[in-house]
Amino acid sequence: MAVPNSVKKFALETTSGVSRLMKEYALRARKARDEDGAKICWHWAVNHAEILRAFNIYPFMVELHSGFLSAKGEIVKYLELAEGWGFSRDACTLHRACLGHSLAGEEAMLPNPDMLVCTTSCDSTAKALFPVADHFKVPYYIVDLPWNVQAAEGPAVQEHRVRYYQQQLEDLISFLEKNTGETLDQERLRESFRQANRLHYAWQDIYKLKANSPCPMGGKDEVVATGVLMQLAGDRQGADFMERLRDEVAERVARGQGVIENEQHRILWLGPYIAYDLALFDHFEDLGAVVVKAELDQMFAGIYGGNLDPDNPLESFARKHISYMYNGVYENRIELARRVVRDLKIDGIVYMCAFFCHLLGGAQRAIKDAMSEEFGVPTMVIDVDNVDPRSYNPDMMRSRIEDFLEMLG
Amino acid sequence: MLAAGIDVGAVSAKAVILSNGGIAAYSIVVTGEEASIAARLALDEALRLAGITQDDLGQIIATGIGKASVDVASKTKSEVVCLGKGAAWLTPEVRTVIDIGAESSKVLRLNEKGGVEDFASNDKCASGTGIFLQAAAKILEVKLADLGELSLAARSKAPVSGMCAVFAESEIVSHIHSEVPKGDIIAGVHKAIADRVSSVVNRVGPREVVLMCGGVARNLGMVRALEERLGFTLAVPENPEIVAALGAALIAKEALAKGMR
Repeated sequence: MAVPNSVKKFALETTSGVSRLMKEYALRARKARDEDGAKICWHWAVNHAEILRAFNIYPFMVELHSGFLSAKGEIVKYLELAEGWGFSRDACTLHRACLGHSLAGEEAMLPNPDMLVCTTSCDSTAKALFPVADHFKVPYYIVDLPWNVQAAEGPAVQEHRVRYYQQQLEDLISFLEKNTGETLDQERLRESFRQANRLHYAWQDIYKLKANSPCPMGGKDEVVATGVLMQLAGDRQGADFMERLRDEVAERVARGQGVIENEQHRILWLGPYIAYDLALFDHFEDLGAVVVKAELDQMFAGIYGGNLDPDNPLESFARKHISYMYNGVYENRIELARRVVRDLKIDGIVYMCAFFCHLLGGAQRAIKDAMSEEFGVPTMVIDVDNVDPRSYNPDMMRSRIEDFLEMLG
Repeated sequence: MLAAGIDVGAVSAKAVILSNGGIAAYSIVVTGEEASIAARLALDEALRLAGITQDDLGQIIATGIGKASVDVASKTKSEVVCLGKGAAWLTPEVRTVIDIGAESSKVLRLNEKGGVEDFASNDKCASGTGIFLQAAAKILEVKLADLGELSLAARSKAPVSGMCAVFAESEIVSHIHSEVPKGDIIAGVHKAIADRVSSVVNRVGPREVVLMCGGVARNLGMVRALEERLGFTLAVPENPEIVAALGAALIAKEALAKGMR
């Protein structure tokens, strides 16, 4: 397959503002910390931004920051700092970069934390972050997220798990009250949940708009917008951004404008992204294919639900977290892929297995087999790290994508 | 008119010229630093062997990791598609292709028409590729071409890590220091590669007939190790390195027949 450079691409305008949005958020946080005594909380997926915003807290999603550093080509020095400190190179790259950044003592887009919060949603996060807590000498809270085993036990999230996690969230709130000196402001919590829902509804609208052919929004724009889901849930500016994006995508659909002219293939991307090579999405488009959807957003905003109830906040939040697709049995991910393939008329899947992530790779064979048997949709599995470029061959990766797209026909 | 296919790999460039009667000529040259020059040299050599000039070629298609640098080609085609095409032409009943080249190994599952149904590759690690064998040959001070024969005469397989080729090199040195026979060490290296490649094979779900190609298929000891690991027999073509170039030439020939340039 010849690789033409003449394919005209139509990126969205709204997403070009994400970098500024994030910088402004970091500046807001630092100003609030310096002038208003606000606290900075680092947190990890799946996160509790909507609850943290009920306090005078600015949450920062640390995995997202590792992705920023990688996309800017600046991550290796932080990885090497962490490795030199003695953090295993076999451990999660996102955590390694976080520790390296902590050791570097740089603030910029990630102000130093006053507290850390994570869940047990992946097997290594909780323990990997103890060195970070030690380094900053800040309190660290681990929220225990129960597995969703619905496929084995029945069609719904089990109620006893919801009740257990609600209690976990109440304990988290006690931790936050203790470390901010505030008492939970119920109205502020409701407002945070309302803003989060605005963000989620707009994202769900965008998902529905993507069913159109040609697809109005491509892979790179999706990745950039997912950063807003990660960082700004519960924040008014995040919701405003997502509604503007939804409106631009809707306008495109009304005009019949796609990401590329002559769209030949519609791709679903499973797993994390290759943050240091986002230009890879352009390569798909050069070859007449559009990455219509990626699944990572589903850790933050469900496309088939997972909305929050401002009047019943903790229960709705518990249901959202427990039912996210990486939590528990992999039938959840298969079902998600099944619905996306059907809704968005997907004809090929790329499944990225990140080298050091023990959470995301396990379902590869099951999803591949299910999509092949049920829809005749093939899956290409790629093994690569999501933020560390040191073991990456971009030419080889492009060659594999060309192989895959030619196989699709 | 004749047609040609050029496959530019990490270590060698291969060219195949097809006439109506089949393969008119082929050549293999070391890639070196400039893939475009290697491709040119490979084509020139194949033209010389066929006794024709480039003007006699109606279509040239390039494939392989360096395909974009082949300026004499009018089109490029993916390596996987070319491998499938070439393998099905050589062995029409083939359903699985195992290609072990210098820097990557690939496994394809084909349908009855030679079309690619699925494929998987090992691009991330040298321990499933020919580069590992080259490194082992160098450390053991034996010729690459002799690895197969030496391993087939082995009495046992020295344990060699399949996880990392670099780490495995130090294991090989340890075996040398322990005076383990070279054949046993090589048999261990073959087993390590077979272990790595077999996981890629199983990713696509192999169906017989299975064809092994790529330069590593010239190593009979490696072929036997893989057969032992997989539990079925592998067919090996007479010239296993040129299967992708052959496939490219076949596609070029089809394009010619359709009147495309």
